[in-house]
Amino acid sequence: MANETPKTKITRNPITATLRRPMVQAFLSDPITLFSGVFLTLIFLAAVFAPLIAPHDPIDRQLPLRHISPFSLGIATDRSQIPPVAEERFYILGTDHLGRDMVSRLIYGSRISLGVGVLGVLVSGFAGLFLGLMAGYYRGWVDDVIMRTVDVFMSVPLLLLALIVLFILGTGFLNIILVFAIGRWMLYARVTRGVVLSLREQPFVEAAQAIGARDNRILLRHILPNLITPVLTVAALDVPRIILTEATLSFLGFGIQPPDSSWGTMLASGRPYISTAWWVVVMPGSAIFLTALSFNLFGVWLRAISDPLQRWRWMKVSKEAKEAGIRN
Amino acid sequence: MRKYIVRRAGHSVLVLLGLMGLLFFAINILGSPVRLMVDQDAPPETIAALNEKLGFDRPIAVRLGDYFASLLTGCQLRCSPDFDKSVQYKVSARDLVIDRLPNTAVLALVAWGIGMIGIPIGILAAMRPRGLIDRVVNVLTFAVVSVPEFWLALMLILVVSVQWGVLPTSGFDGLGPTGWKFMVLPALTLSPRVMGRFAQITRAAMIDEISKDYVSTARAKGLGESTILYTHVLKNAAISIVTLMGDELAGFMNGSVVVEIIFAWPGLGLLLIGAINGRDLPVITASVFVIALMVMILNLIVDFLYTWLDPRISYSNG
Repeated sequence: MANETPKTKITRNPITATLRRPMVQAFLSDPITLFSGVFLTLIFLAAVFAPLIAPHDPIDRQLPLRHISPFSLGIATDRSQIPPVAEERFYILGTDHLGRDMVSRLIYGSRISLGVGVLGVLVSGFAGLFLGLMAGYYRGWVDDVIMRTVDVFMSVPLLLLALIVLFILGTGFLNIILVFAIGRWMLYARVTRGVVLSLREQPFVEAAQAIGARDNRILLRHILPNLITPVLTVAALDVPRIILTEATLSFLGFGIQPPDSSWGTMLASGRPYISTAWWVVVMPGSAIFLTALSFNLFGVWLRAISDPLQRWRWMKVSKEAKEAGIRN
Repeated sequence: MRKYIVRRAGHSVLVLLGLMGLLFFAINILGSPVRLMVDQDAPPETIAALNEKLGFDRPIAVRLGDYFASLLTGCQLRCSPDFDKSVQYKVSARDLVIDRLPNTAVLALVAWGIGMIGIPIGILAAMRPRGLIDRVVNVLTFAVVSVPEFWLALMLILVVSVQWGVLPTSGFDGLGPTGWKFMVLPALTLSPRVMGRFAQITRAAMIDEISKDYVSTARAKGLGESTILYTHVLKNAAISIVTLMGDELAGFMNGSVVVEIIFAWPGLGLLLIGAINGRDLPVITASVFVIALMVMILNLIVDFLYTWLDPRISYSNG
C-alpha cells in the first residue's frame, strides 16, 4: 500500500529506464492488451480478405436449411451450376431464417461494421483536428465560434442526433459516415484545441515565429506532430462507440439497409426468431461486443502507455510481478 | 457564487437556443419541411396545399421568428407549425411530450440508482492500481460498456421472461406500485453501462488524487489508510467524479431510446421513434427540445454540485 506512489525508488531512476524500453515489449507483456490486439488484427484481416475466408456465399439462400443449429451438416443446392447440384455443407455457426451461412454473413458484416467505425473516426477526426487547430492557434472570435458550436453539439445525445440527420437526409452508408462526422468532430476539436493552446506558448513555437516561419508551417511542422498521440487515443476509444451506435441504428432500421448487412442488421433480422434459434441473435451480438471490448481495452492501454507516468506504473508492475511474484 | 450560477445558466440557455436554431436550419436545408412530412412520391399539389395550410410558404425569416417565439412562450399565444399539433395523434405536441417525460425520467433515475454501485467498485479498484482486483474490475467495466444495450435487452428477455417466465417481456402499467414488474428489465438493461462508467471514472479520479503530495503528507504524519482514503482522497476525488459524469450525461440518453423501444416503455424515446416513422414533424421538434432541455438541466445541476464541492471554482470564475 505504501509504495504506490512512483516516488519511492530513487536508486536507478526507473522512469527513464522504462521509457527506453520499446512499446512492443509493453504490448507483449500485458496479456489482456495482447489478446485484444490479436483479436482486432484477426477481425481486420477477416474484413479485408472476406471473399477468401468466407466458407460460403453470404447471400446464398438455402430455404430448406433455415435455422440449422451451429456445428451441423446440411445438404445445400449449389445453384451456380447448371443443372443445380446437391452438396453437403458444414455450418459452423448455423444458418439464419433464410438459410444463409452465419459465419460468412458475420465475416462480410465485419466489412460494414468496421468500415463505418474506422471511416467515421477518420472523417470526424480530421474535421475536429482542423477546427481545433484553428480555434487553438488563432483564438479570438474563431475560437469563440468554434467552441460555442462544440458546446451545442455536446449537449445532444449521439443517437438522437443520428436519428434526426438520417430522418432528414435518408439512410445509407455515406449518410451514416456523415452522421458520425457531424456527431463526433467536437471530441477531437476539444482535445486538439487544448493541446494547441498549451503548445503555442512553448519556446519552440516562439522560436519558429521569431525566425519568420509562416502559420501553415508552424501548425504542420511543429504543432501537428505533438497532436498525434492524444488524438489517436481519443480515436481508438471512439471506434467502439461508433460501432455500437451504428449497430443500434441498424437495429432500429435507420442504419445500413439490405442487401448490405452489418452486425446490427443481422441482429435486427434475427430478433423475431430469438426463442427458437438463439444463435441468430447471440452470434452477431457477440461479434459487436468482442470488437467493441477489444477496441476499448486497446484504446485504454494506448492512453496509459502514451502518458509517461502511467506507462511507468504499467510496466513497473508487470516487471516486478514477474521478478517477485507479487503485485505492487 | 450567484454570479457564477447565473452565468452558467445563461450559457446553457444560449446552447439550447443554438441547438434549436440548428434544428430549424437542418429541417429547412432541403427546402420546405413539408417534404419531410409526406411520402416521397406525394403529388406536388398535396405538397403545395399542405405548405399553405401549415404556413410553410411564408418567408423563412418570418418563420424563424415565429419558431423562436413559440419556443420561448411554450406555444401559449401562437404556435409555429413546427411545434403545433401532432400529425398522427391530432393533439398538441407539447402535451404529448409532457405526458411522456416522467416515464423516461423515472426509468433513468432507477437505472442511475442501480448504477451508483459503480462508485464503491471504483474505490476498491483504486486502492491497489494494477493489482488483481483492479485488473479484473478494469476488464469487467470495459466489458459492460461494450455490450450493445439492445442486445442485452434481448438476452434478458430471452432468459428471464421466456426461459424462466418470471417478468413480462414488455409493457407498461403506470409508475405506481403495480408497474414495478415492467420496470425491472429495462432498468437492468440500462444500469450496467452507468455502473461501468461510474466505476471507471471513480477509479481514475481516486488514483489521480492518491498520487498527490498531500496524501504522502497525511501518511507521513501517521494517519490510517482508511482515514486518508475516505476523508481526504474521496472528498477531493468527488469533484472530478462529478465533472466527468457531467460529460457522460448526454451519452446515457442514447440507451434509453433503444430500451424504451424494445420494452415498449412509453417514454420520450418511443415517442420520438414513432414520430420519425410517422413523419410527425411537430412531435420530433418537441421531443428534441425536451430531451435537450433535460440534458441541459442535468448539466446545470452537475455544475452547481461542482461549485458546492469546490468553492474555489466560483471564486476564480465569477
